[in-house]
Amino acid sequence: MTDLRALNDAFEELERRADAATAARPFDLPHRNRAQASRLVPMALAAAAVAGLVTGAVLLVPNNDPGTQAAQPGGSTTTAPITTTTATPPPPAYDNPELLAERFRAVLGDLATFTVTETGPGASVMTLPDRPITTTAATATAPTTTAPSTTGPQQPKTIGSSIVGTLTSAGVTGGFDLLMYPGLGRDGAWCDAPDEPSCSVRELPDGSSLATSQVALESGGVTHQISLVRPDGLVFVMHVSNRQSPKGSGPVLGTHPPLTVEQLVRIATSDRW
Amino acid sequence: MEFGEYVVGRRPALMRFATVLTCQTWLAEDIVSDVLGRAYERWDRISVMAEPHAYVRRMVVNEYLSWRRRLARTSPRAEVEPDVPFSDGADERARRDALIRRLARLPRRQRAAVVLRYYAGLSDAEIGAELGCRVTTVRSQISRALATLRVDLTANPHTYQETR
Repeated sequence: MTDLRALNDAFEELERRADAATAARPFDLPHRNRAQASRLVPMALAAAAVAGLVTGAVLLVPNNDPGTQAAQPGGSTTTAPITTTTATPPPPAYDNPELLAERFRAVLGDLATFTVTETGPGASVMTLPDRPITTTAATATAPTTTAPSTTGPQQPKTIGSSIVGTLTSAGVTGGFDLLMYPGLGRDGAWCDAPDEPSCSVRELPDGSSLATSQVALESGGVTHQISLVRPDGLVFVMHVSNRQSPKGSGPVLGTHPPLTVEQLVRIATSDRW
Repeated sequence: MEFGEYVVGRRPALMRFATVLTCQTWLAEDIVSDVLGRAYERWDRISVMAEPHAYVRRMVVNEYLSWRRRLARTSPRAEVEPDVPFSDGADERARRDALIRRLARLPRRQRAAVVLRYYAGLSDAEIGAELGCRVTTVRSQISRALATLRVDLTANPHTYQETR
């Protein structure tokens, strides 16, 4: 038997871990935010969201933060329909899911083939209001619902793109997801489960931050995970699993994920994006 | 209170609470992110409440209790780790980690009840209101949880005899 002090010790240790996690990602409410992400995809995808397939990240930024500007595809030509006869730089891969899939195919070459079953944004950006949201008479008397307010300039906007599906390499098939968005460039790469021993975070010679892990995120599958944050702020996240869901749930498709962590690193750092 | 102000001031406390509740920092982040996202959408209603933080904390508890059902997830790692016996009974760290493992394996409602009582300091009645159950249920949840945790409230707080 032990006593209440031991319980308090346990609580204090958990607090210490919480503080470390909080300090590691101030104001960044990132990745795996399924509730947010699921609102951004059509209703038809709701069932898939329950199965844990949805990708997407949420960045929460203070208003008037210069970092917000970095969330814009700065300097690139994503305000597309300006057609000129001269050659313009190609749009970034995250411009839309179709383009992301096309570039992914090019990066993979003959390493692997894949089928896309779901597409979506890469992240949603929420801007913190610089003053309290005023309660109008209309909203004050409205029934309490969880529907997002459609008024005001603080609507979350989405950036980047994501694709989800199945991927086959060397005869092995598994679930994958891939998301890319122009991030704020303030936080490094992360593991979904930072406490796992397989989590490795390191800096690459070009200043990119790279995190990899091999962990069963859900239901006992095996998931290989990578996140790469480039010096220009671009965020690249990918999961492959031996199961249907890239996070490791759903039907088992293979004995191991179709791509190794090393292959994921080569894909993420490819210059063909 | 502005939402930004709330997040800056209270996110660390929410993260602590959620981590104690879930025993997993990544799951705590997941839940706190979800909850703050939803709190932001209704901040005009939450901010005028008498105790916005208590309301948001309750959102965290509810999110946690519904989490696995909603995402059809199972068994976070800490819940399936073998409860490896250790030989060095004087090793405080090992004892603490063992207790965290036992805490992590408690059924969710029992764990929520224990955390609300011994971490958040709520009364049985308050816990009942938070979890939507009767006071007698709260008491039995807590006493079963303490038995599983092998925590004896009557033990001398300065004596460590046996840890498992």
